[in-house]
Amino acid sequence: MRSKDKISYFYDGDVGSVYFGPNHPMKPHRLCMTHHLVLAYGLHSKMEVYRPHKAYPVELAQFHSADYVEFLNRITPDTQHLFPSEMARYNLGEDCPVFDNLFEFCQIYAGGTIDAARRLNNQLCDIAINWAGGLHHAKKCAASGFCYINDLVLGILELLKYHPRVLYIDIDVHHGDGVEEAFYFTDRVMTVSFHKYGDKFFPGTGDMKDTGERDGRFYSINVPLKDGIDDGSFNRLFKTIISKVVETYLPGAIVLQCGADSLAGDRLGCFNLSIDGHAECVRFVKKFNLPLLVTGGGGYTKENVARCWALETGVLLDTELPNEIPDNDYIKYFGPDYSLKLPGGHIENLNSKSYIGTIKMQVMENLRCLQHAPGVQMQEVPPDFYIPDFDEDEQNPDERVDQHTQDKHIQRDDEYYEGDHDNDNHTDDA
Amino acid sequence: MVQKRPFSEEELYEVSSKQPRHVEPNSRLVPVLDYFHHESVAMMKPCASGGDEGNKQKSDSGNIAEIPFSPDQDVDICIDGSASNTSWPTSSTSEEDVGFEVPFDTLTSPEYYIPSRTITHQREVYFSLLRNSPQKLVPIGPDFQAELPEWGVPIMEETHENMNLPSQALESERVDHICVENKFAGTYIIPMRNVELPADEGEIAGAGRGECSCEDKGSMRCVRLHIKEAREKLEISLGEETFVRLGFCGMGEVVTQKWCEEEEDLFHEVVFSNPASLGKDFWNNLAIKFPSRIRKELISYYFNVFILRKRAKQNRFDPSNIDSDNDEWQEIDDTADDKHNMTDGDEDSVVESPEYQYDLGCNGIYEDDKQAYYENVGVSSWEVYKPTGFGSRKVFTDLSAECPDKLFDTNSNSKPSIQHLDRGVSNEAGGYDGSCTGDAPGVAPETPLGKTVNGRHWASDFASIVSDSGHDFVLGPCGVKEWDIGYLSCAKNEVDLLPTCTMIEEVFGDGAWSYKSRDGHGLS
Repeated sequence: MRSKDKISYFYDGDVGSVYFGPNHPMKPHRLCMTHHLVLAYGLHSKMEVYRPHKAYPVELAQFHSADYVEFLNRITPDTQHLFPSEMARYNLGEDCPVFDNLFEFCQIYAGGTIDAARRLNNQLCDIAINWAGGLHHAKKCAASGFCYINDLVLGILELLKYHPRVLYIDIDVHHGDGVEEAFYFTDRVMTVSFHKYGDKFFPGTGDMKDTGERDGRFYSINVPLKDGIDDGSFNRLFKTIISKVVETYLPGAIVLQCGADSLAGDRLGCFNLSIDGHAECVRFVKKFNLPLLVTGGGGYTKENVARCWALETGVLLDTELPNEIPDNDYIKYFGPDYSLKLPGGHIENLNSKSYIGTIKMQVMENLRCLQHAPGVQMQEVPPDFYIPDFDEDEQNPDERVDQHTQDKHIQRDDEYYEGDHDNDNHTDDA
Repeated sequence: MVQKRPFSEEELYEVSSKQPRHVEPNSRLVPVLDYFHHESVAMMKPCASGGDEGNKQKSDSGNIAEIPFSPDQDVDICIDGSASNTSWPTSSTSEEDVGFEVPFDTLTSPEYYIPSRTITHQREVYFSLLRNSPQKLVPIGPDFQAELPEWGVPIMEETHENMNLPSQALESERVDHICVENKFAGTYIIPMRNVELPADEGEIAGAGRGECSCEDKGSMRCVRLHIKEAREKLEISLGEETFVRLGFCGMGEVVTQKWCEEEEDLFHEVVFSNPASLGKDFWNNLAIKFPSRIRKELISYYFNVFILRKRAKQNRFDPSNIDSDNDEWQEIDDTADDKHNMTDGDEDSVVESPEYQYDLGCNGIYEDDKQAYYENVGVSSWEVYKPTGFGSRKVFTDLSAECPDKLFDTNSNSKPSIQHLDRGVSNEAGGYDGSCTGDAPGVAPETPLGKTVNGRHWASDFASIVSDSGHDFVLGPCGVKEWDIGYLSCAKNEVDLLPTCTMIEEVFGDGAWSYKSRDGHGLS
């Protein structure tokens, strides 16, 4: 059996004092609560805990435009009124307010993800966690949806230095538009986002039809969902799609954004997932034994966020946590039940079986058009062939594995290496 | 520019933001119909000084092509040699060329699912976008996409075998890279205890809360004691230095060690006097009243003491309506009836009559959509973030002045019964969100209202709620009044109803139960 994964965990206590403003739903204090819970459960003894460096502006500018980074660095709540046009240009001031220590906050959470990627690249760990990161809406030249710097893009860019292909998975209730957009043209990053879509839900992108452009065509996958999706439906869909993606795309590393606003009862979300259901996704992705970078993301009911990410830290550590929350400074936040797990929600699930089936079919259809690993001559998938579905319920015993799929397995040995700390993964382009 | 339909920048972003989005003045995204094969876009290839990302065609999905043009970026769309991006030759070929039409939001429509061949089919036109809500398209251009590093260029600590770069460049980059790697890979806080862990070791972590032998088990005192014990245990486990580096000195009620009683009282007073539900911002006042305190200290106190204490009381007095974001919550007077009605933040305990609660309930949902936390319309866009949607998360604004009438009128065609069924007990008038995170029994079910749920947009959303008859509103156990729910849930949960004098001590810190250790001792 594979030895336990080595986990690096990044946290900087300064995030606790970050405050977006009165009534703003994003409360970085949730990170303190998460961290505290992780420590209260004793998980720190099973992983390496790091304080990330504060990302330098030049690092942030690896993705973002220099003038945007510079503006973020300079602007303060007291001076923002002097720069109305820039504020507008960079989409600051409403969803993305300028608050005290804004830039430092960005440096912390981005630094965490960058450091996490670097440790993974250097194979110093198998899994790296930065719950402060995952701010997936930030754009190259603008803030968006409470996100200023897109740490995920920066982390992925870092990983791309060492891996030809990186898979990005996003289970935040909102579409991971910033990351998708950044990599829309490339096949070196495949972005897969499961999100609520429709009803003018933020951000408005994430239609199933958005599959990428040019070299990136079919390398963006969007799974649009309706309100109320529950554990069963979500997990089945997730596993089916991700299995197929990993099998087809053969990523060298995976970045998993675990936005907790897809949990039931979230202040802004509308799904019905329980903490177990949410964590099941993490558990599943971990099983691929690929270098894994895990970040936080949305999540606007603080105590649920803390519960979720603490539990998922445990999952990544292959450690089961007792449901009773241990005594800790923030235990009052978890009352009155003081339990770790929360049940799923009770809102109506508007995702009918046929709807989900249709989505699944369409996504699989798009995946079949996917070019194989770059460097391999693309072969048209004859439309009559049907790659077996991973969902047992829908498996058609009459279908056969086509030659194409078999070829992939052959190549798999060449291109795909286990994360077993060997260093010979940078030979000539395979 | 020729467009198929009137287009405004606002419109393009309407779907995605609650408040009008600020479209960057430097670039605009212009939807243009795509009639051409992806490859045959040559005639429409952008003549950009920079890359060639100017022309985005969604031929695979048949969507509208977007041509972002940014004067600063000098990206123009060249069509047949024309430098203008306005003269789309296809502009005349409108609806007649529609390959198929798919209503934007009926994903179950059979036409929506394109046969596999047509995915690669080049000519796809997606006209329905013109008629329905605009689909938000992925912007493209040098201002949007990332620049990817080459794979294999950076070097690891060992010798590198990259053949593609000139050795000189490689060398400098290698040095830089290693320096960067070593310097910016994070600071060690807690090393791994055991480098090699057997695969089956330590499956369970943490002990969870055990049973305690306190006589007043579950009381504030008991909880504090056990927290203190847990902290001490953790400090021993981590070592003092690590304990400090992890920030424990600024977590939890230990923060009060740096605050005197007067300051704490003043803090509470400032918050209560400036309730957010009345459109006030107590943070400014706090800054004024505490000139010697930096913002971080105020925020730290707020989350580690102020809200935490509120939650402690909520756990005991209103467990079905816990809300860690409601800083106006106050426990009810002991003499109040047992409906656990919460009062307005700045009033004495007032028991609302059931009818009034009912009323409040009906209007609450609209409050959400309007100015959930603020009564003043002009305040800001924060109303977006109202915990809408899930019944127990409705926000109840302060139902004083501006309250409900106008809201109720505007939403008269909604279903009032829904609102107050799904609001649980949260009938208080103090802008307090009846959230319920746990499986508190009897919590009213949540509604699947897309709008109200998704706080980020409300105005148009709200309209769609009313008009959207497609959703079923799950009401859950009908007929259960919210106050009954709350009452039942409260009765079921462990409630430590302290006598009033003790509560006063709890709040104001007098007596032996005082948490604030001004002499710097302990935490309890």
